[in-house]
Amino acid sequence: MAMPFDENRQAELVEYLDGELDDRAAQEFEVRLGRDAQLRAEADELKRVWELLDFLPQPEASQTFTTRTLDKLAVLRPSASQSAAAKTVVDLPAGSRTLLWPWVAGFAAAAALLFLAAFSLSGTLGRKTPRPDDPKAVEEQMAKDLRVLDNLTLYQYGDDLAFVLGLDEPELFGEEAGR
Amino acid sequence: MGVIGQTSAQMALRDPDIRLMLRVRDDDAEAFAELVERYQQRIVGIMNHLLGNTDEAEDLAQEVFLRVYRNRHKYSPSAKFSTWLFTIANNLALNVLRGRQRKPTVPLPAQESGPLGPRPAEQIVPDRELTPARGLRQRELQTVIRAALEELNERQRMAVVLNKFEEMSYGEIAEIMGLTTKAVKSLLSRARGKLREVLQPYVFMDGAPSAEEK
Repeated sequence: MAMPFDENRQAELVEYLDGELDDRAAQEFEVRLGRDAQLRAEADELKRVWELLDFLPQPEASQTFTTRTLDKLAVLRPSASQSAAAKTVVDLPAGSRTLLWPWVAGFAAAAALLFLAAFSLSGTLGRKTPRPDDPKAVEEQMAKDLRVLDNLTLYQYGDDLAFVLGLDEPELFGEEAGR
Repeated sequence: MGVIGQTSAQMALRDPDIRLMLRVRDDDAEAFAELVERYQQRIVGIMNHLLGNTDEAEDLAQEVFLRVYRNRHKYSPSAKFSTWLFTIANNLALNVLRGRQRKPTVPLPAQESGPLGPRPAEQIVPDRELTPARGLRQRELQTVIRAALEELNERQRMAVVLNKFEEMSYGEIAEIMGLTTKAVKSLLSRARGKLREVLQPYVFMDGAPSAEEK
């Protein structure tokens, strides 16, 4: 349903005051504001009413908020233990638990392989070890290693090599890729 | 251990809160505590503006975080983490506010005033000739402003709180409230129009001259 004319005018005014008009529309609106005293008065009033909301108190969360929330979490944790991973440990017969160890070892091996692949592709392993008397080379190598270590936790979420390669994209980290 | 697709992985790389939430998904309680620390002020703040009661605001804010934790295994980053969090907050708050409408509270008698309850508007006579120092006290002004907010329907109030106190754009509000940007524009326009009707007599209490007086 179309809004009445004055509601349209008010809506445009609010949009302007909220900075939601694109540049061109905002400029055109400012020209209208300059010519229309009534519009200016309405804009001023809307703006002042909006600013009155700043008089409302801004209470802070109590100091115990996090603690109390985590305490409630402890109550939820029995349900957390019902997650698929936990059920696998809890519900299987004792003898079957030994079957889990190959899976755990396999995952750890896969994670390690992924880690080594990241190093290889970043050129770390393929390059010569920097000479100790070349401080600049040593520093560059340390920076590359640090970047890998910083993102180590992300490797566990990588399900393909493209993701791992993507970690070295400069636009994602706001820094130059060290190759 | 959860696996995420490439788009989600790129989002995780850009948003540190998504990375934290992915750790929460993997039952990392420390990561959850950190998320609570990071967002508690904002969530408690908006709940307080919506509900007008600090204790209730904290209870509901806590419920927001508990829902985050209960649903952690279903989490898949498709937007900023804050958008997801505020969407949960929006849904919970709207449920509470709609519940209040279904069970309206008994209005306080006219003689109730001050911090125990809202003073009816007719007992607070705005007078533009009064300076702020002689006029309404700040606490009474807060009461009037809060009453004006309560005149808004729940969606208008949510849009106002997100726009004013979280400085969210129409697009962000639309995403959180499950609306179009056009619908948010209409909500905010009507909300601000209603606020102007109620609060216009108090606009000059800040002492600054109006555009007409300049």
